[in-house]
Amino acid sequence: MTRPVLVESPSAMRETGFVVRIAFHVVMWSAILMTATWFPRGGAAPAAASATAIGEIAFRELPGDLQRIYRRCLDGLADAEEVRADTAAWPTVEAEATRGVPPFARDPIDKAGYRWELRREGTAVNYVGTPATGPIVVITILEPDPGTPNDPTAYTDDQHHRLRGGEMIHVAVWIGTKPVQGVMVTPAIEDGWKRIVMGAAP
Amino acid sequence: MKRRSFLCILALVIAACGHGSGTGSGSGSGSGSTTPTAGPLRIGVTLHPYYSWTANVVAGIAGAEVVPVLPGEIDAGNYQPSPDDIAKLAKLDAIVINGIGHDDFIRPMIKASGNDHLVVIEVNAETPLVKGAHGDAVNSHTFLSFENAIAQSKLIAKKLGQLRPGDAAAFSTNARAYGDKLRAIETAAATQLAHAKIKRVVTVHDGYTYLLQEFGIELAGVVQPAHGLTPSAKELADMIELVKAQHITVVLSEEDFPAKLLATLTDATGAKVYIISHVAVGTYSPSEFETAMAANAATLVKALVTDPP
Repeated sequence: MTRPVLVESPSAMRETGFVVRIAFHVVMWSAILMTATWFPRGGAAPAAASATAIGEIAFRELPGDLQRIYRRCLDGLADAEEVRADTAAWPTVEAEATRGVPPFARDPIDKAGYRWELRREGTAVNYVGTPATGPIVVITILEPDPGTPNDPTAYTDDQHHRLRGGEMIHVAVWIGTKPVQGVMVTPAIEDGWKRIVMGAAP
Repeated sequence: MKRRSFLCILALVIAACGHGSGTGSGSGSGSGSTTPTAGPLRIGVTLHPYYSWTANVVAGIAGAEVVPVLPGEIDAGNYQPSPDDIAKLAKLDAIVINGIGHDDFIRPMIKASGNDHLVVIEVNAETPLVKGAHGDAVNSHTFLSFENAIAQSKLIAKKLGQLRPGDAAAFSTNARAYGDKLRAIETAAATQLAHAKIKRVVTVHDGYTYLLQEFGIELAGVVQPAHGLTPSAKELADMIELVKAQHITVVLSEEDFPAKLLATLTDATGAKVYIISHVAVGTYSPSEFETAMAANAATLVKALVTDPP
């Protein structure tokens, strides 16, 4: 025994509804994909990023000797990150100095006489460089809280670095004159501390 | 049926957007743009220093090969792309580029090669850039520097590690060992240059700013008005005035600066000329950079420490 099935074409309203839904999805997905194409998360910092905010100073505006110190800090930070990835611990100043890694190693060119010290408290790590004369330099590192899942799509730039194991850390290099007490994450701007920003092409 | 039509339209939109995204979106600072794959790893380079750095980073890694895009005897500043060189790009997995003005020819070449999986490693993405001597443009000669070489070799290692996670630790170890080697050369020179009798120099070429800064040497002026341009008579006269007024006694020159112009400068001022390699031409080799930079460091010691009375 067969049962009759009635097949009806959709009503005009339903047909219109389908078209509207398709058009909506086309527009929405196009917008999402075009935005992702034009503004990739992993891309280099745009030129506008070179502008400095309050509490920042651009690398290219620093005098030559401080530019030199900053470049050496980045070298030392990169090396320390490798050691951290290999050993799960931040290297001591002495260990880095023994391997000749700047800015921790003896620097025959340095006239300011920087002495470096590692400080650590919880997830915050500081390498503090105190000179005989001139501004204090602090490399700040903030690790994620234990158990934080790694985000492989997270943006990396001069403040956000990814360790080889995938953990994202916040980093910065600061200059200031007020003596550093304890471990800093973000030094007080009102005390005159400035974060050195790499900037992009002017 | 309607659902299938919708999916077809969506697929077309995705394809259209993807097509417009260009090739090699893996910038130096990017994070999720590289896709781990297996098999041989062919890495192109645009400049001589990048060959040495990358060769040291991949040393001993099975299947890894470094491919110079330009013939060794051609300076990137005088380069005209050839079909053969574009064909090389089609077979690469990654390419190491300057990206800030020294190899502007490479992006159109990559596009022309049709290689849409090529990962572009911009070595300057995380490098602080100083201004050029003339104008506001950045100084693209970041490769003439020990510290940039060390940092950028590590960046290359990191990016290649994203392409080949299984070799990431080996790339990192190699980059650190290479960095230690370069640092030893730099420190030996710095120990002598700390006693430099001359602390200010003039250069004919704007390529030595990063290197001079590492040794605490000040740059009083640059003869060339822009990269590769010969100074006019007035510009040369102005430089002679500057050298005289500031009592500059050392001029650092590149290998192929016109000898006549250099003679005019030195005859008028009494300054001595020393040649610093641009590491721009020659035979590609893993040791080319460190050899050239050791010679450059020795030249600086001679010019600023041992030669002056």
